[in-house]
Amino acid sequence: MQKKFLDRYRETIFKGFASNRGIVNNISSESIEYLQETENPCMETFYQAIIDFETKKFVDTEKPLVGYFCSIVPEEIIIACSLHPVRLCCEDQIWTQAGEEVSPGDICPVVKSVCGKFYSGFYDKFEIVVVPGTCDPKTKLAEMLSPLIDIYFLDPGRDADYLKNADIWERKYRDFFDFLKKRFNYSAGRKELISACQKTNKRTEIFRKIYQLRTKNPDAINSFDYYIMIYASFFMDIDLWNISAEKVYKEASAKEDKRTCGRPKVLLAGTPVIFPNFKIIDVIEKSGLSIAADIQCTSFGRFYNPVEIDEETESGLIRALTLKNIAGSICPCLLNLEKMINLIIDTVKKYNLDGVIYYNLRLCQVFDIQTAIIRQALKQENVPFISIKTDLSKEDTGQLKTRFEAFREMLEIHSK
Amino acid sequence: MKKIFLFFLFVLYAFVLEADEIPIEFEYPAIAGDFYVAGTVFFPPLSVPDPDNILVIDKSTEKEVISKITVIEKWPDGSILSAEIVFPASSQRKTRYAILYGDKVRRKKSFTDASVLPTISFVVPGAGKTVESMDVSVGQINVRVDRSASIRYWWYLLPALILIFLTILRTLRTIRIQRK
Amino acid sequence: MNKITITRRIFQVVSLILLVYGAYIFKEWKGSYETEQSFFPSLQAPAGKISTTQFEKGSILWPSGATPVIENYPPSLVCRFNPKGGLFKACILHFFSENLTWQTQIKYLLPYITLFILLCFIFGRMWCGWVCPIGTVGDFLTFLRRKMNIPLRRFPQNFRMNLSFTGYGIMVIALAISTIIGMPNFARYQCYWFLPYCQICPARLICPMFGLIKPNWKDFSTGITTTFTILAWIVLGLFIAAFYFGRRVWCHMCPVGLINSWFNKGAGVELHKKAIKCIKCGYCADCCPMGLTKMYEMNKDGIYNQNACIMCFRCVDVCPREDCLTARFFGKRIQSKDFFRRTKDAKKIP
Repeated sequence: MQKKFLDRYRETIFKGFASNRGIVNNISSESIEYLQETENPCMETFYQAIIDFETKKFVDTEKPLVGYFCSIVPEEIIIACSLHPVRLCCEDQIWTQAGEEVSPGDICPVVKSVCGKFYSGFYDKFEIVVVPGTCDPKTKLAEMLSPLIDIYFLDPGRDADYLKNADIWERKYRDFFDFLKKRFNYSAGRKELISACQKTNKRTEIFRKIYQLRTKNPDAINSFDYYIMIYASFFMDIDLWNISAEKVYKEASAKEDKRTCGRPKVLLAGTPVIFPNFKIIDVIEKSGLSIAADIQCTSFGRFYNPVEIDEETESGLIRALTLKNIAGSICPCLLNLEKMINLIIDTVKKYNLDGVIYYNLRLCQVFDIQTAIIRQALKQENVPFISIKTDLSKEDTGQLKTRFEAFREMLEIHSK
Repeated sequence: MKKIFLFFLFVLYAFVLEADEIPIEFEYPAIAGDFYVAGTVFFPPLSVPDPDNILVIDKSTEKEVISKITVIEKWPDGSILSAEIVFPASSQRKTRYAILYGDKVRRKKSFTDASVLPTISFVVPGAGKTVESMDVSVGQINVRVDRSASIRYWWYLLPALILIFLTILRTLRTIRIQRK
Repeated sequence: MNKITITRRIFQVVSLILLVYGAYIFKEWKGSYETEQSFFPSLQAPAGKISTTQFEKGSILWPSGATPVIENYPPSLVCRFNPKGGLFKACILHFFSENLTWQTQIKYLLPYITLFILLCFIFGRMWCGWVCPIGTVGDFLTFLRRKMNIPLRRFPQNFRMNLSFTGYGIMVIALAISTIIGMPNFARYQCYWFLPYCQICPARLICPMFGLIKPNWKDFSTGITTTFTILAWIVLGLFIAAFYFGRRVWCHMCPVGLINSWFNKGAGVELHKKAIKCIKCGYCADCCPMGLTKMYEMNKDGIYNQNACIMCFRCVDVCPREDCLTARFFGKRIQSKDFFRRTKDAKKIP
């Protein structure tokens, strides 16, 4: 089924906008053969959603589309304004190469692929795009996209300290909320905010269940499906995502007992893995490791924390959103390395994982810079650690596989 | 766990029932036959919640004597401050009497209507004066009762000091943890 | 709303009912000897000739014919509800003030003080967050504000510090006045200055309302009573404003809370933080009704009890990380270990 999906996906993109560029995508179906034993029939909704997205149907909704990047941007506010949020983060090699026509080659692959999508006219249905000023490439991306589309620039600042910045964040979020209300002429208040928060909290609940299930038995929902679900949540309607994910969870937990995972369980941290760029997952799974948990901003960082509503006033809700999205963020652009290290150590110890793989996408400097410090901290805690730096191309697959196999052997020795 | 046990011990001890004894003195009159002995006794606060917690005993037999107790005043907390105690005695049997009070004791024998008999008053040794010792000040009661077993109150100092000591110890520990 | 907070709200309401209506509910408890004296005899001044209410008007002791400000029946005096004359005295400031005036020997007060210390040692300042009747009323005002969508007013740290200094000042003045009027030479001032803090305490005006009893809310007979009346109004206004616009700002200057707070850091109820679990999201510091931030700032494992903490466990409740902030009792966890507790509760939004 996963294989079928990949074939369909490949067909779709060749028919679509990529066809006239003659670029091959980097999806491999090698690891899928292994994962196929553990596939889940309920995943069909997500597969279909991705195919629809690629055929520019985007989403089945009347609501205006609002694009955004990063988990810093509050989805809840966009949902509360009766808009449809679409996360535009993209790591597709096709669009990267398309983007290189308008942007230099040595920059962040996400920026390149987003530029490619926008400049080739793939993303043309968006009313507005919210770009956060978290990192330097994103800031410039806002300026690069401004000729094509309306941009809202949301700058949270780089200091994630609650005590210093809570009021600033609250003001910025409120400005954003007011802007959206004015732009789309929609009056939203706390009722809308509360219902939006309930939706994301529901998502958090399901995500936590899935996350915990996977830490026990990674094969219950295999990592391919897991990341597909994560990718689908970028653009799917949140209610639909909740229902479908719950179905997947139920299906998986019903079969959970029959499956056991004999492979070493690892934690995947670092740069987010976004759908077409599944190279790292393929290689890890093929070399006999299994990704049992992850700490990445697309999945864990975005879903794991619920919005804790203390005050149900409008300002209280907005403040709760700032805390969830900015203060609790794991984005390496902010000052929160200690938090990241603590999270990794805690997750490894809590779920008895065997090791940590730290994934650096080449040209994303913030993840790269902190590798050494994380390695040192994990060495003190005696947690096996490997850091991988790679790009979107498939050339180094064999080399990576060798390294992961060596790592696996090390883990097996370590666990004995 | 040891600590918690210790504290429950304290709590138990604080509520443990107690009884105290006040010896009384009177002179046997020259008349022969029965007579009443009457007098006012002051009690420390919270020692006697109810007049039934006061009784008169015959010191020779250690048995309860029939008595009539009228509450005169109360402490602000509701316990008895002073009460008038009347009990019958006889010149034929010259014995000593004492008043027992506290939550431990329970009066069984009581009478309400007094027959016409001569009444003499008793004194409580050590207390000195009876009525005079009450210093009524303005506004609120301002009563000083000298007659009481001091040890019954002063022992509370021990758990209080231990608790304060433990509090200081734990506070220092908390401050040390928070400062480092 | 989460587990501990719901428990706390229920506890608060039950305590309020018990404190205000307890004397009505448990009137059977009173001893037979009290029956003929009064409906609520145990709360009356000592029987007999000495009573605040029985002074002859116009006498030297009670010059202007003023009625006493503090009534002696429930529910106006929830501060000293004690149906059978036991050890229990609720409000420690009332207790200290009246005994300083009466000049009671310290040995008679030792049982009360020991019990107070014991309770404080075990529970710390839990009184404020869980029992205090005016705290409950104030929380209701906060609830109203939240429902009316008025943003929370956040007061700066040093303002709150100054409030607690004010509270200590008021406490010292009140106790000093109580001591002075206890001296024989000043006894004639007792009728006006007796229980000086209680006369301006908002509880005196608020608590009788629950029993549909009109408190002695205005008394312009003399200069002193007028001053006290106006002070009481000002304090009540401040109280309502503090609870309505802030959360527990008032509690920073409440003298009773300040006395309780001395025991907070050594209390048996411990708030514990595991630093490695913390993701510094700031929910704990944001939701704290007293505006404390220690639990957010701490970067190592340990107890984060603070003096001003009212032990409401709101921070423990809202922490999105399981096992990060925990409530402990002498080192033992008293919190459920449910993994999905957070998200389950997150669905039910207050």
